[in-house]
Amino acid sequence: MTHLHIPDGVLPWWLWASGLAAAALLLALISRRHRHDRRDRLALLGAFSALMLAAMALPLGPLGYHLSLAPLLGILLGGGLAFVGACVVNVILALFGHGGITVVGLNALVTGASAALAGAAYRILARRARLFTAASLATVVGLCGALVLWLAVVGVAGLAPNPGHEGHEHLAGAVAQGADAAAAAAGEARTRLARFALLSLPFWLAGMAAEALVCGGVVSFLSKVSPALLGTPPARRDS
Amino acid sequence: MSLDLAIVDYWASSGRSPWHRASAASKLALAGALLGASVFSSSLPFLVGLFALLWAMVVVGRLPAGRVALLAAYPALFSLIFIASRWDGTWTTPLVFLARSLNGGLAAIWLVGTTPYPDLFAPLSRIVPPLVGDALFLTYRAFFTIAEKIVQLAAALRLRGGLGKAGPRHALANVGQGLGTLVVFSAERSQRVYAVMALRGHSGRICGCRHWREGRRADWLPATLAVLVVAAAVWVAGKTP
Repeated sequence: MTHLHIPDGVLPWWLWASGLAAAALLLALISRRHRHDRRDRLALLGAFSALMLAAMALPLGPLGYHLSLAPLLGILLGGGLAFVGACVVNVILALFGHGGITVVGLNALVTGASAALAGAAYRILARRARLFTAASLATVVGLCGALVLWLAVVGVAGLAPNPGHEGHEHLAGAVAQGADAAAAAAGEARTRLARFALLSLPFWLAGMAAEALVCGGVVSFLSKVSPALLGTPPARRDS
Repeated sequence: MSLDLAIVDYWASSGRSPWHRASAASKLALAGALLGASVFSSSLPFLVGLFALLWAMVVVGRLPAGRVALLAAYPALFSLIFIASRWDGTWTTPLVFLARSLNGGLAAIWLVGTTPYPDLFAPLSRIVPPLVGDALFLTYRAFFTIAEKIVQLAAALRLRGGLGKAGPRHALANVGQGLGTLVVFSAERSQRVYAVMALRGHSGRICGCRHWREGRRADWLPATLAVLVVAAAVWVAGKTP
């Protein structure tokens, strides 16, 4: 649950449309940057994205709790290709039962952010710490970044009115009615965000710990068995 | 989910309903109309009407109702936390959010349950960069092999006590080490896939099939329904204050 999927219909249209546009722009830039990559990188991207998808099929408890492996993808493929993998996985998940077709862009941005941040953090931390620790910490960094982005999405969505209340209590309408009404609407949005953070934070923290330990285990294993997969050999390895 | 994906794949390939005979383009138009009408509408009766229409489509498509219901309910689980955060003291708001997410999930399941994945991914791969389109195909094709391995890994970890008494920290580290073997397997498999791609003359785009957009006689049904759904959504939006 380190990547709570946002379903269709709970966010205002301008927010998910912006998410789709941002994701499309990022995909175009990444594709351009990687257009001269060796073709076997594409096959590797497909295989690791499938692994990410398959890991999500492995339930770790009730309520559909599962790993995301997005930070691991960031460590193995780098931020750009990991973002492409996150997009692909979110499209397949949205089509095959997880829902959220309209919010594929936002879901991909959140998942892709955790991958990109974890990849960048790992490259710094791997020179200074044991690989298990570096990968675990990088995973935490990536997931914290994703959490901030996710709460920002929900916070912005909180400014929109509930269905059927358009024009009555949302921030833009309230600004038109005066400063007091605007302050009340902003207060309502903050309350929604706080309620949401309170409800979701325990899931995130538990998921973050699980993901960090698993990611550390994978990287530690790979450093012994197949270090080439981890890219440039870092200075310190697990014994 | 591996089983779900395999079963939905089987429904799409083996079905003989009017939906299965229609082209992917017309079904994409209908699914888009249903999804758009759902996420833009705030009228609960209209959303319930769309839900009923989607179920009628599932029945006409001869998709197994019980399994479809289970799959379509999954997004509703995710929406609960959003619904709780948007509680405004009325029951209409949560029901509207719930109906929207259920309709979205059901429309997606109907689409993938009646359309084989090459027909579904081909139009998507036309609108995204080649890297993304190819990754979509390769991911889907690799999924079944890797999902089978992951199920075997879970069984092996359980049988060998890897998830047992040493506590959650060690259990998760063991899961990590086990997944490490799958990373190595995936990387080796990708090299074989790349060799096959090179042998077959991969030129930068995997799927060249175009029959997803060839018009068929059965297209009248999804096309007519798509127009009716959009017209009804516009009419309802005009009537809603």
